Amino acid sequence: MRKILGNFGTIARPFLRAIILLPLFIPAMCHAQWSCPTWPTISSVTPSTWVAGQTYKQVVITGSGFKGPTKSCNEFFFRVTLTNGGNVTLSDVSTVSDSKMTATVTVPSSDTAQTACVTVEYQWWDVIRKTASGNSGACPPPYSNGNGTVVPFAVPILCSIPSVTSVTPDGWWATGQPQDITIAGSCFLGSSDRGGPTKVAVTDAAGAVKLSNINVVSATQITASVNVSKKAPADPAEAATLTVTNPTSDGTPQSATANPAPVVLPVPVIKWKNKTISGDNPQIKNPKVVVGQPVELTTIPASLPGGFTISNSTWVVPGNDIKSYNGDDSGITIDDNVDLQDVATTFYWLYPEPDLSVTYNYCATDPNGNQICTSPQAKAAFTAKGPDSSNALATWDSDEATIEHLTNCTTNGTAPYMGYGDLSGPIPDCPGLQSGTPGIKLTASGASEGRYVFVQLIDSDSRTYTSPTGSYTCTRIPNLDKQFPYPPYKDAPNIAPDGPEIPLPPEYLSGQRDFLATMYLLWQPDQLRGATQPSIPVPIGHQQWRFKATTDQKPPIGKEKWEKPTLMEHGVTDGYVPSQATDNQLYGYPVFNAPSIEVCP
Amino acid sequence: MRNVRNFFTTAILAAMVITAMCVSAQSANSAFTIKLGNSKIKAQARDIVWIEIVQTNVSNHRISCTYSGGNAVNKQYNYEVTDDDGNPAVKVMPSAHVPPPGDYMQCEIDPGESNTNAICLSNVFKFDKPGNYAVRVWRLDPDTKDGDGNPTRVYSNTITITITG
Repeated sequence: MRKILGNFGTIARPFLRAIILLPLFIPAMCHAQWSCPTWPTISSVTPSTWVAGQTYKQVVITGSGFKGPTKSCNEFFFRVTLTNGGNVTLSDVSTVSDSKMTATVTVPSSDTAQTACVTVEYQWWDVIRKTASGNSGACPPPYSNGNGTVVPFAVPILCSIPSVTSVTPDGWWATGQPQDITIAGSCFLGSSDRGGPTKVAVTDAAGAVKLSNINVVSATQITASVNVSKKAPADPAEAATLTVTNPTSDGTPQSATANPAPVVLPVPVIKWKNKTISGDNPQIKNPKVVVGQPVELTTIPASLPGGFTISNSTWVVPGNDIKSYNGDDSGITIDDNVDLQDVATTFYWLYPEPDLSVTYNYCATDPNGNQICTSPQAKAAFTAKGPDSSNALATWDSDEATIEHLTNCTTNGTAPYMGYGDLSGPIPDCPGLQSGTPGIKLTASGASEGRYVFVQLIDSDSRTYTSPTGSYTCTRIPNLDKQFPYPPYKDAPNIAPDGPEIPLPPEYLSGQRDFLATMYLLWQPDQLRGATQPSIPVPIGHQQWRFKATTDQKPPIGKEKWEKPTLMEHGVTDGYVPSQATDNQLYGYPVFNAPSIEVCP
Repeated sequence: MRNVRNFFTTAILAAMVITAMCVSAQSANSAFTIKLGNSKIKAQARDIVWIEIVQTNVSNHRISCTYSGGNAVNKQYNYEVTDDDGNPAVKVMPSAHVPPPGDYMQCEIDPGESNTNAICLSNVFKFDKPGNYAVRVWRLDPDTKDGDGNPTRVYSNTITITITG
């Protein structure tokens, strides 16, 4: 048996060895004789990006190893697949050469912001070989299929439906001048993109907005110039609709609208008495106002649409202006803190002045809190008029001091007084009116309307009496003389009279008065028709005057016979002085805080 | 004794009613009204105390609002001040050496108009003791006469001045 097997084994052993080794030789033979396929590679895909919703008739895939085995390997074949996690479809796949394939690619609209992962594969002896090199990009990481490492080739799929996240600025001034804007968003198509560039359009009800120089900077940014005609409606202002549009392969545009909508920001306009006084065609040019009358200004726009608000209004009011005035016996108070940060303002000019250019501008705040603060300026040049350029306070002086014999209503007798001028009537303790000639009359002139307001301040005032026991003086503290305002003649309201007096009791040897006062002239214009605020008095000028006289009782003392007074000083001390805003902290108004009181020994 | 007491009580009440009627009647037909501003004034002892008098012409003709006197006191008004006990307040003693001032300022107001005076009441009365002081003023109205043919008194409202220590 061993011999038989031994002979057979000697003969069969080489064949058995060949059979066992044959499978090992075949791959080597195929490789050598049939160009057995290598692992395919992809070096590029054109176009390199795909846009959702588009169909690409001839996508070119460049690489190597696309032909695979060409001899006796008929069972070998190609497959081309795309992997994107979505529904990208391929058709008309063609292997042009070992290094080039073509196909038609259709990307559904829904495949936005994803990545197509391209692989080339073929099957050889039931073994699938896929792309073994390439750009994996955002595709799944390389993985092993048991015969090698598979590396997908990434093709970005761009979105097709644009979005607008912001328009900067989103408020556009109606200046008729181009303004640069930047549109931020996504899915903007450039010129090189199929169907690009993204189109941008703006519409507004008035047709005042024009767009130009549209430039798609990137898929997320577009720049353009916007020009809003000056004729854009200002009140109410309007919003504009900004739309960006991408085309689709089936012709249906994909659009997005800016939200919040941009707003046309009108160039501000100043209004006075419901008339336009600023801008190119004001209804009133160079408006004239009267000092002391309220200047009540409003503006357009008063509000903005689309959730925009007017913020940081800024007025500039030149000249000497105040917000409010009040005057009584406790003094004149003014508030010069004019409200300059609202859409409306009210103030008073106190002194005549030409070319008072009032300006106004504003900021707009969009619904997101962004502030646009480059408002053009509204400007109106006022002229503030006074009552008259020749306003003055004339003085009439009686040139006399007299012993006045006034009626005592208690005793029915008379009592001697020394006075400036010559008055008769009741003593101060009794009711009734004195009459006669006052010592001084201050007469205002120059105003054809309104009314004069007089205010007299005591600069100094003393009464000195000499009695057998000595000489005694009462002194007044400088302040308001009696009351505010100082009353003029009722029938001649431009004339303010005065005639300081002192009683002359019988026990005194002599009496003397030294009186120094300043009469202030204010002027209050008539109420301005249609104004909500009253007119106020404004400073005009002032005149200082003096009365100093003395008298002695004729002996014997007690008989109340007094010498004719000696007039030592009287009338004006100097000329009339027009008021100026720089006179004092009250813009030239008289400064006092109470009626003057007297200090006596 | 009880009858006597009742008699006096009735007499006092009658006098008060008559007085009130007289005052009311005087004011009702007067050419002007007087109102004191600041119904409650607070000050410290020896402070300067000011009151505000507003005279309003309620007639159909021009009336006088003349100011006479001086030292921030218009003597055309008469001032009545009583303390907590109803006693008249102590008046300020005038200077022993110099007579009171006697200035005069003519003033008239048209119908419907008012004239206001700030009066330094502490130049008339001493407010050197803490307490409440009732203040009212009156002024003669030469346009209306009482039963004796004398000018009627036009009274103001009463205000309270509270002096603290």
